[in-house]
Formats: sequence, C-alpha cells, structure tokens
Amino acid sequence: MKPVLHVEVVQKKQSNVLQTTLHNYVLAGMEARKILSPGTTLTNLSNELLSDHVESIHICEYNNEGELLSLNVEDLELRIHIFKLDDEGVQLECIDSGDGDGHEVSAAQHWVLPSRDFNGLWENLIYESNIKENLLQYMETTLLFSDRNVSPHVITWNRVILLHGPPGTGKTSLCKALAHKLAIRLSKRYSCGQLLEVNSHSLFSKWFSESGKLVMRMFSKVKDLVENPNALVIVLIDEVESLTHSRSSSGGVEPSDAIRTVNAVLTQIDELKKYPNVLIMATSNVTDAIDLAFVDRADIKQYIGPPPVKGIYKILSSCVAELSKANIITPKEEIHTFDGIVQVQAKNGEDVPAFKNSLQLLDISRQCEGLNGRTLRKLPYLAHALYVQKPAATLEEFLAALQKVVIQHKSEMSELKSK
Amino acid sequence: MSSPILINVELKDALTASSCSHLAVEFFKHIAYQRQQIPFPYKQLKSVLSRKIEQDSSTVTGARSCQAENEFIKVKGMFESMQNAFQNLEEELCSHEGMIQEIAMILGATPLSPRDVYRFQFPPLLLGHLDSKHPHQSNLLSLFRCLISSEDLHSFFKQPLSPTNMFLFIRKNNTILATSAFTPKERYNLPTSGKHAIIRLIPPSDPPKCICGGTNIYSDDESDTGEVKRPIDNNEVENCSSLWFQAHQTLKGFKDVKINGVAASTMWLQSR
Ligand SMILES: Nc1ncnc2c1ncn2[C@@H]1O[C@H](COP(=O)(O)OP(=O)(O)OP(=O)(O)O)[C@@H](O)[C@H]1O
Ligand SMILES: [Mg+2]
Repeated sequence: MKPVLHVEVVQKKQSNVLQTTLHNYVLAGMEARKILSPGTTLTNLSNELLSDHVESIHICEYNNEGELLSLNVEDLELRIHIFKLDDEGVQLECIDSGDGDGHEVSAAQHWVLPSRDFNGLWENLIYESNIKENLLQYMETTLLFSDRNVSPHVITWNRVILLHGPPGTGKTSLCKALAHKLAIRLSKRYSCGQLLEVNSHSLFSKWFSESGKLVMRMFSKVKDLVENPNALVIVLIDEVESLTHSRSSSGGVEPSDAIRTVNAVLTQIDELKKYPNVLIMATSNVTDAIDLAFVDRADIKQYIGPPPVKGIYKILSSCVAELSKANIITPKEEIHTFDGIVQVQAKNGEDVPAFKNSLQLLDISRQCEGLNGRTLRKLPYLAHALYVQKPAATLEEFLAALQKVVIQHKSEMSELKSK
Repeated sequence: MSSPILINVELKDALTASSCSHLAVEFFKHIAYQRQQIPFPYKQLKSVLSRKIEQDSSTVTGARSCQAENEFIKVKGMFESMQNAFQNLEEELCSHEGMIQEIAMILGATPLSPRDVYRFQFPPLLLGHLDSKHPHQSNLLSLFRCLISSEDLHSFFKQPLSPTNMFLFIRKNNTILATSAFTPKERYNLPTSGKHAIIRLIPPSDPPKCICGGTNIYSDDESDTGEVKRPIDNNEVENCSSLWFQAHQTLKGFKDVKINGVAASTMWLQSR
C-alpha cells in the first residue's frame, strides 16, 4: 500500500469550474511535477487553467514529519481536497431571550468551514510528537464509524474531546484548526462543515442561569444544524471550567438555578452525541477544577502543554521567516531545520559561519523551554520594540535583541512568582 | 420544523425575464423591510439617503453629529451593496444565458442556519418580448395583492428578528453566468431548518394577445441548453440536476440607531 499524501487546493471564490473537473487538472499537474516537497504551499501557478481557478495548493506534511524533504509522486497515493474558503468570518447566532418583548441574545459564534479565518492555523501550531495528527485521526475514525452505523455497543469510540493544560498553549486555536482540517479532509462526505463556539461564560451568566430554557433553545439551534445528515457540525465549548464554578460558587445566582442549568447542558450534550455527524470539543486550563460530570463525558482527555525545544525552535523560526518576508529582517538568511542544526552541533560544527545564526536560535530556544506558545509568539515583537527599534535589521542584530528579551522576560516572571 | 407556506400568485400578463426580475427584487425589498432588516421601506430609505447626500455636509462638529455621520457612512455602504446585489440579480436573470429556475433569499447568521427562507419560483421565462409593451405594473399588483392577503405570511412577519444577514441565491442547471456576482455552491442544498415560504408565479395559460411580436420562446428550450455535469452528491433527491449559486455580496440588516434618544436618520436631515 502506498503512503497517503494530502494535497489541499483552495479554489478561487469566483471560479465556476466544478470540483471534479478541477480535481483532474490538479492531479495531472501534480503528476507532471514528479517531485513534491511536503509542508510547502504553492501560490504562483504556471498552468493557466489552474492559475485562473486556484488560489493556492498546499502539500501537507508527510508522515507527521515537519522537516522538508522531497517525495516522488509515483511512490504516493495523492488525496486531493478541493474547497473554497468562507470569507464571511464569524457570525453570531441569536436566540429569543424569552423576555416576551422580542429581544434576542447571542448564543454562539458560528463559522462556516473551511474558513479563511483558520487557513494556515493548523500548520502554525506546533506540539510534541504527534498530538495534533493523532487527534485528527481520532476524529476521522469517529466520523467514519458513526457514518457507517458501527454499533457503539460493540465498539466504543470517541465523540467528545477535552483539551486541557496551562493557559496560552493553543488549546482554543487547536480546536478551531482541527475543525477546519476535518471539514477539508471530509469534504467528500459532508457537503459543509460548521463550527459553533459556545462561550460557557455567557452560558452561565445570570441571564442564562435564570432558567434552563435558554440552554435548551440554544441546543435546539444546534440540533437544527445537525438534522442535515450532510452537514458536519463541530461544537466547541471553550473554557468549560465555568461549569464547575457555576455549580459551586454560582456567582450570585440561586445555586439551584445554576445546577439546573449545568444539568441541562449535560443532558443536551448526551442528546447531541446520538447524532452521527457531530463532534464536541471542550477546552479548559484548570484540570482539577473541571466538573466531574463533564470530565466523565469526555472520551479523549488530551493534555496540551508548552511546546518542546523543537517546537519552540520552529515557532521562532516561523517568526523570523515572517519578519524576513516583511523585509524587517534583511538580508534574507536561511534558518536551518531543527534536526539539521542539532546534528551540526553534535558534530562540533559550531565554527562554520553558515550555521552561526541557527545555532544561536537553537540556544535561545533552549532557554525558552517552559514558555507557552502565546508568549513565544510575542517575543519577536517585544524584541523589535525594545531592542531593535528600526525598520530593518540584520538577522544577527535581531537574534541579539531576542536574546535580551528572553532574559528580561524570565527575570520578570521570577519576580512575579516571588511576590 | 413547520411545513413551508406556499403562495401561488396568478399573473394576468405574460412573464418576461425582465418583469420576473423586477418582481423578485420588489419582493425581496418587501421582505427586508417586513423582517426588520431595514428600518424604512426601501424607497423611503433611498430617499432619506439621497436627501442627506444632497445636503452640504462639509463640517461636522460635536461628538453626536460625528456619531451620526459615522452611522450614515455605514448605512450608506450597506444600502449601496444591497442596491448592487439587486442590480446583479436583475442582470443575471435577464441575460440570455439565464435559465435561472429559482431565486431564494435566506435570512440568518449563515446560509446553513436560516431563520427564514424565501423561495421565489417561476416557470420558464419568455424571451424576445418588448418590455415597453409589457409594463410590469399589472404583474406587480397581482404579486403584492397575494402577499398582503396571505395570513400565513403575516404570522411569519410577527416573529421578532434582530438585524442579521441576507443571502441571495439563484438556482440553475448550468454553470454559465452573465455576471461575476455569483459563485456556484456545489452540493449545497437549502437547509430544511428555519421557516420557509415559497412564492410561486403562475402566468396566465392564455396570455393576452401580444402586440410586440415576441414569440413564445422559453428560455430553457432544449436547443440552447449546455449539458451540465451533476454535482457529485448522491444523497440529494430534490433538484439533483441543478446547482445553487450564492451572491458574493451578503446583505447586512441594520437598524436606525438612536443617538442620545434621537434617531440617526432624523439627525442626518436636521439642518445645522
Ligand atoms: N504550540 C504552539 N505552537 C504555535 N503557536 C502556539 C502554540 N501554543 C500557542 N500558540 C499561539 O498562542 C496563541 C494563544 O493560543 P490560544 O488562545 O489557543 O491558547 P489557549 O490554550 O486557548 O489559552 P487559554 O487557556 O488562555 O484560553 C495563539 O495565537 C497561538 O497561535
Ligand atoms: Mg482558550
């Protein structure tokens, strides 16, 4: 069996070529190229038909390995996914507030997938080993099993996933990226994908807690969407820990009301799970405090921690690449891959000038161990604002600034902790 | 889910492409107002905006009038895009490549989560008639008479709806378009959720004697049909030989906001 390589093709919005037709053109184009580099995105397409109808072609990473390598088309089974990106962005779903005079409250944020908002998000989230890919595989298998009516009494599978871990490690982003990816990968089976983000804070605000009715109304909205067997619906309950808070402290609301609301949510989740085309994702950054009844319902509980050194290196090099693209770092200099540079270091190649910058970045990455993704992505910005302070700098200058910022950040953090 | 309401509109005059597009646009304007997506009837809104434009508005002073001015720019933009979308719709319908089978307007946050769905259906349209000999007035009258006397539609309008999006769709059986204002939505089908209303135009079986020399050629005569490939979907039973196209322009509903208790539209027309 040949290994599978996914190819994602973004069709231009106004293109009116049918997808089957385009599929064949792309396939022919790929085969003509013979050699493909996983992890790259092609935007300047020479083929006339393709350039008229295709915005970009992304060759997905192969075998979960991020490092660039070249593959021979003949050895692969290409899976080509053709889709258009939704440009509308997030929309608010409103429901009747029930106060009798026709007021409406917003209940959820709604994205039509694949959405331009999430394009490229997946590729830019970097985690230890294969967390990302495994989650995607779980979800695909879940949908396949339920689509084929495999009996859940014989084989159990997962429909509710919970991502937990410290703040800023990309849990919310990962859920969105997963939803986006699933919609792309399964676009042959489902005619449309949708992400509904339910903010549990608003769900448990006083407004909502007054009765379980609003919760019911909100979920009946979700069910309306799920009724269409060709729609893939992903429900994201962000910061699910507010479930517990509302049960215990209940923030000024009558506790019995809060409990009723929580129970309504849990029952509704159970109801939703019966549909084959729905997935429920939840995030939380306080693991011990999550409502036990909810934890119990989660089939996969995945811990998301700060990225390992390899991930940090990748995040920082993606930042450098972005700044080079914007000509803020000039001249453009190559940053080596993580595996490559680690090998160089092991072989004591430290004095070779071509590796100098990459080695320094590696050193900085090691110092950053333990920082979360949100902070990491902010460091280059701070470096520029505090220590570069001019519209263009060399990579060397920039890395020196980055180094200073890292040291400063760490001392600030330890001050905060000692207080 | 309630079953859709059906309103049959029996017309008195022949249904040409241009009269059909006129009826459709007038219908959608009516819906936009009745469903509180625009604060005034379309015509009135247009005149308020153009009166404001005629005014000399060289200097804006004070926070309140600044706010009113911002509001004006926003509303003007939304109105213009509405105007634009309707124009494109008419153009698409009147073009000979047309063969549009149905028009729909969806109200809701996304085209997949409709609150209201309005489907505007009509038989194959007549081509080659002179518009001057077939004024739209008589057909328009028939349409609005039906709309206004429909109890079902009234109960529709009673449901509150805050400003949301309006999506325009056309359904046809080929991918040839006259404008670039629409994009094919492969494998899309109108969702069954929300409330649905179907307006069906029925031209007279025996149209009044025609004096303009137009023959009764229908726009979907076999000779000018380009064969279309079916969308890949196999689960749809309904409309499997045709495709929905969505207008690029999504219309946004809006309110006449109050600034310190005074409607923005009132402030626009106040002389300074
Ligand atoms: N492992 C990572 N790789 C790349 N980028 C990351 C990573 N972790 C976080 N980020 C970046 O950090 C930002 C914050 O991520 P996000 O809001 O998803 O985190 P979170 O875990 O939901 O945080 P919180 O717990 O505070 O809600 C995002 O812009 C994301 O790109
Ligand atoms: Mg979050």
